[in-house]
Amino acid sequence: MRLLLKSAPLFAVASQFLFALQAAGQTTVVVQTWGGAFTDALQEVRPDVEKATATKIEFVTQANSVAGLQRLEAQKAKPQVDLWMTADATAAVALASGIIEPVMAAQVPNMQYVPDKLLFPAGPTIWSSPRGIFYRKDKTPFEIKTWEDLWDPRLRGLITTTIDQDKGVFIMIAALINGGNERNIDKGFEKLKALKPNLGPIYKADAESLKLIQAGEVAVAGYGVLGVVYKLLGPGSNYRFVMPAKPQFMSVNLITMVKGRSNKAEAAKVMNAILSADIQERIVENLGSIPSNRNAKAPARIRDVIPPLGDLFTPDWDYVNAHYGEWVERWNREILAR
Amino acid sequence: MQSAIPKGRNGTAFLLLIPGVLVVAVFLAGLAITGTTSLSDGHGNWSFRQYERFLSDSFYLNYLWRSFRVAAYCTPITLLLGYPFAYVMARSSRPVRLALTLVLVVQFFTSYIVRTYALILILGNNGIINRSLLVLGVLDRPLPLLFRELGVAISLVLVPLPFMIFPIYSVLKNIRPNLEIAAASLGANRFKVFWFVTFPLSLPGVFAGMVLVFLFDLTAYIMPGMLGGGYFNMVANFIQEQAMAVLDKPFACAISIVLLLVTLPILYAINALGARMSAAGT
Repeated sequence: MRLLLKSAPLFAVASQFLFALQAAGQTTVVVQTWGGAFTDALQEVRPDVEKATATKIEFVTQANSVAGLQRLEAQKAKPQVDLWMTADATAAVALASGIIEPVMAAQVPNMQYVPDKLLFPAGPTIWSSPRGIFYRKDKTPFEIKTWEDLWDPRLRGLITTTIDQDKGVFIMIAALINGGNERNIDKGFEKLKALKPNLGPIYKADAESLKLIQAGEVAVAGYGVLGVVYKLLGPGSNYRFVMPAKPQFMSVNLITMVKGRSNKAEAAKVMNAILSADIQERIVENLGSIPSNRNAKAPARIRDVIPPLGDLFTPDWDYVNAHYGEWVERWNREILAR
Repeated sequence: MQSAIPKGRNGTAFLLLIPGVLVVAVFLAGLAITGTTSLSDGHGNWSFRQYERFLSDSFYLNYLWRSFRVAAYCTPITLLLGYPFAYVMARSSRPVRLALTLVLVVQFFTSYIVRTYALILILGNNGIINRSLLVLGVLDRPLPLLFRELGVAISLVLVPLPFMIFPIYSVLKNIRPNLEIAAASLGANRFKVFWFVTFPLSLPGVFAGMVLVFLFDLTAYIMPGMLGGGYFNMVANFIQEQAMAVLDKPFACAISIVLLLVTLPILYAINALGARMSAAGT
């Protein structure tokens, strides 16, 4: 017994040493993703993904997809990231610049459970985030159901919106309901000019939209991210989220493979694990998003809010990326200038 | 001629210089990259196109003008608020001084975003000021303070206050009390003692604070972004938008270089004026 007690610390040290050796032998896969709720959701599943893939995962955060892209551009000669989670529009830019490379389905077996329309040249969709309108029903004079409702004069000064989110989809929505589209964006600006009396402060980051409503400065997020408000929704809540038809839009977030890294096999394993049904369900439960694996279920609270999905609007991102600068300029000159 | 550094310590002094040299080198490298990027036409060719584009469009120039204008009037207002605070700090008892310092330090180390959001809760339609005035019957509808120049200007006075107060305080604290006592003993009243003795001696702190606050206001990004509501963006917001949203880095770099080139002579003038007035005061 005494011998056992004496040798216990030795065993402890030895086991720590062996554990450290084992950890040192594991390959680290660096995943670049958004901070806040996104990293929290991924941290929660990290132990299981590490166990399933025998890798060590390290997260680095990005303020937004474009900031992530700029970091990867700066590291292009010596990349420091293996997997990058990003919006589809930004992924298209990164693929064209040779920062990321196409993902092979053979390397990531779970891609077979991702619907074809959610598989992109840059990589598979990891989750989709519904966009729509959210508002305080006690501060809004009527129930909002359609995009057109935003133009109702009773909402004078009560709306916050943005074009920074999703590369100007709000302008494209305005164009679509006015008979145009991303290639005929004049229709969008024509419609947005009529919205000016209803516009209050413009938000930049998605969380700001909710803060402005909570502070009582506005009542309606005219282009809102479901994930921002979804934890506040419920039968007794004053918050409402509506995903209007014509057009329906969801932001599609991809997981992509950064070019020029040596541990591609391990990165592919991690990507595969993240796309598995059980991991997907746990991630989207925290984010208020829709999983891309068709065997995974969307969170119950989302199923209550989201209508049956019709033909989702998918912009031609290459065209949008080429013209977004002009749209920002027109937005500043024609809509925001007072 | 004898060296200021004792023999044998040259090596140590050289080592101590390394961090400073590194900082300067990184700063200059960043500036060089910004400068060269600004000279790209966006297609890999050298060109002044980005500068021409910025300088020939009054809509773009307005961002620059707006930033200088706001910084120019917010800085003296910050001085008017900051100087009395620094004076009270310097002349008060130790417990009061500690309490005031604590207030400033807490504000200083609170994130700009939190402080700016707090201002929304104070100045907003539903904020403390408007609600109080509505309850008191002074107003019958909220006074629009936010999402326009006024809200941004209020934040650019309040948020950088510590940058004004600390330099002035450090100078005031080191003014020898004998000088003020001597002036008073020669018949000067309290105002004259302050105006002819204390204030001139505190000018180095005043100008240091003005330079810091002017630069802070000129390059402000978070406050105009959040409190301007998109309708009162300043030059830093415009640069950020071009670099991070539009991805037009050459244009963003050109605006940054123009901002730097226009700022440098102004800073030089403030410093020169400060040096002259401080010399005259002492």
